[in-house]
Amino acid sequence: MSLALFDLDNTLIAGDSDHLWGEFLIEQGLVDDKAYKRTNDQFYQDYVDGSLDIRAYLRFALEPLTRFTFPQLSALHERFFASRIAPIMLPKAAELIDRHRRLGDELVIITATNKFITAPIANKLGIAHLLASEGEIVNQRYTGEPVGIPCFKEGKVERLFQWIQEQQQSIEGSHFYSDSANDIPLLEAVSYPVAVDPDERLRSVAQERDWPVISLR
Amino acid sequence: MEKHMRFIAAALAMLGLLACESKDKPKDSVPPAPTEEEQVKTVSTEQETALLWEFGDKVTTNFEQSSQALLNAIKAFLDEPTAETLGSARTNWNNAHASYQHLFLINQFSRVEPSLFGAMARAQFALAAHPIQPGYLDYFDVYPYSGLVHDMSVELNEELLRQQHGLTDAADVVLGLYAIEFMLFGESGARPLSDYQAVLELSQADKEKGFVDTTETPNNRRRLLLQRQAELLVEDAKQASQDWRAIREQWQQLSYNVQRRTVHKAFEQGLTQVLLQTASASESEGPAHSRSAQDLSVAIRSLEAAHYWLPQYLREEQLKLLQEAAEALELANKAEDEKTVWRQTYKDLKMAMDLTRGI
Repeated sequence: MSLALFDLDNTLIAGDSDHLWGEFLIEQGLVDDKAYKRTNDQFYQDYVDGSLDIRAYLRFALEPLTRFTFPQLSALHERFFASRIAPIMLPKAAELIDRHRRLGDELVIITATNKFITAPIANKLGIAHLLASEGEIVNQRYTGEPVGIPCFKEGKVERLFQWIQEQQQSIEGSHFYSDSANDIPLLEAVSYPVAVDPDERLRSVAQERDWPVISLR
Repeated sequence: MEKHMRFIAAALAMLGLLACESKDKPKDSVPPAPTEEEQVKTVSTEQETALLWEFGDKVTTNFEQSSQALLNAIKAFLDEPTAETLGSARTNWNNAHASYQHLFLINQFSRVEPSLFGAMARAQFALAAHPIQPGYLDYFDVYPYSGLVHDMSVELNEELLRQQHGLTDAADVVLGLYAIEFMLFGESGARPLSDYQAVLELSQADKEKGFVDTTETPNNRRRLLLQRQAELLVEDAKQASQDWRAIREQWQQLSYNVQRRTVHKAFEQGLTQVLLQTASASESEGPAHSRSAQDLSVAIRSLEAAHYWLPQYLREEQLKLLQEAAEALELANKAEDEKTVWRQTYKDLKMAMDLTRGI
């Protein structure tokens, strides 16, 4: 059984769920709109540029979660999913996932976005394994602090190898699909790297190294 | 000032002249055509108001009773959760829902005259807020621990439930028929009976999940939530009846023209809605489609209660069109060619709408 690894944002869905969650919070009046939007946009730009301070970003993204109980967060997420994520789900992504499922591959989403945002999306995509950045939880509430290795850049590779060891899987024969140059370390680690609607930096690296480039849009 | 006095004098002179002309008319001359206002009145204005309010009293009282029956059925179900008692609670929900459709006409008043009928708008939100966000209440789709059922920080008492209803968004629905529908029927009508089995003692698994008391378990919170929702529905249904009666006094202080205009607007608004719903429901199929036909039929029949207020020359035709449309929908699911029934209904309602525009 081989691994089929997928980045989530801008790969399996046509947008960045983390950034969209920030916009959703603004729209719902749950955060101070101007200041939050400015910071949210700046972090997103840093991510695109490859200069993101992931821990600082995770603290920023996790802070609003501290204000709600888990059931309240679920209800908010349901509304977020319907208004922001459902419209950017990609039929071609569903076909790709299905193709790997039929081949008997073990499907895994591996994403820098926190687990609260991504777990229901992974569920909707029918993918049981999710490696995501995590927030600390104490007494059934988020504290706002990141915990563990953030699932970003080299962190993705580290988290994957930890998981492979726990699950007694193998990296041999694995595919990884991603849109972002931030994922080059993991793309280099797998057997079959695939660039999906890649950003400029990844596109040029993919061309140099002869990695396949596909579109799910 | 002088100019103003001159204008009044001229107006009085004009009135005097008209009065003289009237006196001088021969007795056998053709009487002037009745004004529109005179045409309308075949029952007195008091009777028109009385008929409208009697209709409102009747439908709100019936809804009160069907809500009470739903509460009784829910209590019986919670006392003994079996397939039969759940079935009975669901049947009673269907009855209460059907009964609520009769409020269709009076609900239109709060849309066209919100200052006078504001209480009815509040009642609508309490009784039948829709659409709901299921995850605000309980587990749903990919959210297994969602909503008030799982949120131990919210005590399920009347005050807090009312506070949570519409807390941050109109879809934060806690109360009313559609919230109860989700609690009874669940996702796609598949709510399992086991959701309502009372937890009398904490299991090891419950303790591992951090529950320290049986009242914290989702099943017991779900049971309590459903009971509170049904109790508050009855309370709100009673309040709606009282509000409707209370508005009558203010209504009677309005001039007849304002009253008539308000009823016409409510009628037109209602007709527009059923017309749009007919167009949209005729596209769907299955049980929801059949329920739409029944709901629409009741809504159309409720509009008939406004027909006294329409100009007399329109009443008969208007009433005939509405009755035809309602009857056709009542039989829609038995008809050989359902699509033709929907199309004919749409035509009748459209014709009624065109007639209304001429008022």
